[in-house]
Amino acid sequence: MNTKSLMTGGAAAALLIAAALGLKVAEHSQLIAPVTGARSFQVMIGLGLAFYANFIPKTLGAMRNPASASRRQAALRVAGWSFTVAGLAYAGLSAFAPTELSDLLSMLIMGSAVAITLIYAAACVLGAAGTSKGSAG
Amino acid sequence: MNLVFKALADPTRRRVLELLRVRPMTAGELSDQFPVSKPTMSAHFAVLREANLVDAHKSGKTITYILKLSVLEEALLGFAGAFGMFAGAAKPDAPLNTGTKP
Repeated sequence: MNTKSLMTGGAAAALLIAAALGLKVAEHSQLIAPVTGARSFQVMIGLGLAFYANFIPKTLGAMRNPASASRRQAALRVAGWSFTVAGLAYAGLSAFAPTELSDLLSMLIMGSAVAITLIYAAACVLGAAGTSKGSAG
Repeated sequence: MNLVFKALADPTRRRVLELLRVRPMTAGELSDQFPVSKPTMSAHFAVLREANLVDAHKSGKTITYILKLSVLEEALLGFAGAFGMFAGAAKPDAPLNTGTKP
């Protein structure tokens, strides 16, 4: 991890904390309803996740051999797409859906994104193992 | 972002990106798919590298290209391909007017 990405992550964290504090102050001052503050913060988290997930496929790193790079690329693309869509859905649900429904659906969507990413990554690893066994045998 | 739009505006470069979606390919393998000269293809590869849409790995005399698209860039590529977003864009497999092989 380089200095630039650390700085960007730190800035994003500071922005989220500042936004949370701002929303709390607004709630205490009765400028916004408590539920509006909570929803706004969840929308920010969802959009932040989508923003970061957008760049996941770009983190490919150095290519050692084309076959492994191809599998890694496929796994990163699936991870990027699933978390970007999940982040946008999380933000959308947090903004517009009834609270009880949005909490449940958000959990389901995030869980699905994690599951899809892990299953696809495992399939890539198993595929790689199978290919190397096949080529060795 | 301008570099990305410039890179995606050309049908040949879009076709290169679509080929790289399948697997990483060498410069020679990619060039063989197009009826254009190698210097023209090199220029296309340079534009794609400049826009950070592909990564190049040099091994001896072989340069292997691999896709490096963000989710948004991939979505833009899909839109550009599906709707012919950029005016005057030829079909991806249509021969180009410039730099044809002798």
